[in-house]
Amino acid sequence: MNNLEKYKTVFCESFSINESDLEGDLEYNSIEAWDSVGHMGMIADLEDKFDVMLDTDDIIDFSSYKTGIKILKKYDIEVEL
Amino acid sequence: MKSQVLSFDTTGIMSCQQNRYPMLFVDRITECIPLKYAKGYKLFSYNEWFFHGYETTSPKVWNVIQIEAMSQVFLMTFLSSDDCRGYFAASNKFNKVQFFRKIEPGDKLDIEASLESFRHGIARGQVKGYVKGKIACSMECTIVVPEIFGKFQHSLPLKGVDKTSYYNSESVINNFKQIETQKDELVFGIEKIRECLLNKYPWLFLDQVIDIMPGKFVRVIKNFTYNEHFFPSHFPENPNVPGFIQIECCMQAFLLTFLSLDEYKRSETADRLLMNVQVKRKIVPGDTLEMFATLDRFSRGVAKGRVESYVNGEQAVSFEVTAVIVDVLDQFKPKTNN
Repeated sequence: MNNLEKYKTVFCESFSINESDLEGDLEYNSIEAWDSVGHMGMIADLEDKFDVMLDTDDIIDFSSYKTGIKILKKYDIEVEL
Repeated sequence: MKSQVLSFDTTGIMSCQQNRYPMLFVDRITECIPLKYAKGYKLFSYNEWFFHGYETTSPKVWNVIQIEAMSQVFLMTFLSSDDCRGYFAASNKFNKVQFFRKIEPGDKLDIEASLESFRHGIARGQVKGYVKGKIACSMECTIVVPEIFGKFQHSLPLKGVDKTSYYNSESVINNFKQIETQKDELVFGIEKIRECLLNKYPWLFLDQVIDIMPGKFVRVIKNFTYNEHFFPSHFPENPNVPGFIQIECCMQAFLLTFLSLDEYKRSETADRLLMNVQVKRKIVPGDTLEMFATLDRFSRGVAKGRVESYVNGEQAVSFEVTAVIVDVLDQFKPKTNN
């Protein structure tokens, strides 16, 4: 499984959504499941999947599906769309 | 033939179901087709008893009260039919129980329940609650009508008392304790429980901790005695602990797994998701509920774990849960333009 597939899987499993829902740019609070609790669950799953620990500022900045890709880059994780 | 749409005021609701003050959590059924669906609402007022069992400046409707309100509207989908009107009904299973927003005094919870199947005295369906048009809570539920189910139950194979699950729960805790080096006699009664939880009468449902390792597990008991306020109304001829109170007992046991950590004592919490809630037995005055709660994951204010509970070693309520410490969680909310 490449990084993009892993990244998509985390979103789909955390928020119980389909891959097609990720087209465009899914944003925090744009669906019921991505609220503050859903956010922390998704971050925890992402950390497990990529074996990283995100800084608090990055967790707060992680406001959309696409922004998350830029943030992961800071941790040397390349997710190519 | 077109089905007749019914509506019920409080008197009509009480002619269909047995719930009474202070355990009736639906005010009006606005639309109902028996054996199909029911729509109704519950108004919340600060004058209600359950708002006063928690030390906070910002009172809210407990999530188990939302479960009970949703259940009572769901009851109307089948107890409004001529064949079942007035029967007792008992909670059996709840799944995917989600809470999306805080409900406060002054709010109106609109509830829509649909009945997916009703056979052999077992009703299955889905319920959603809305506040000001926005989803507030939802769940899947299974409710049993003992008077009907009992006729079929007799033809099912009898199952003996199985205490395997109880012994498993004990061994989980014993495994944790092998790691623990200190082994002094534990004194953790109601005073220490109150040092950890914000709950107070009439909404504190733990009596004594038997075993605890903060951040890992808790084993705690709750005694049920007829002197408690819910027994006379639930029910006069058949006193037993309402399902939502059984769930709340176990929820408080779970909260104690992390609110017993010094840095989180008396923090305000909210439960967010309950999965595979099973209410397996009737609990009556004179019973002691023994709860085993384990904390599987606790990070940045989000706690995930599981609770198993027993009466005399026989399984009672169990579920998986996600709860949050509100203040800690708020520190990690993403920035938005809203």
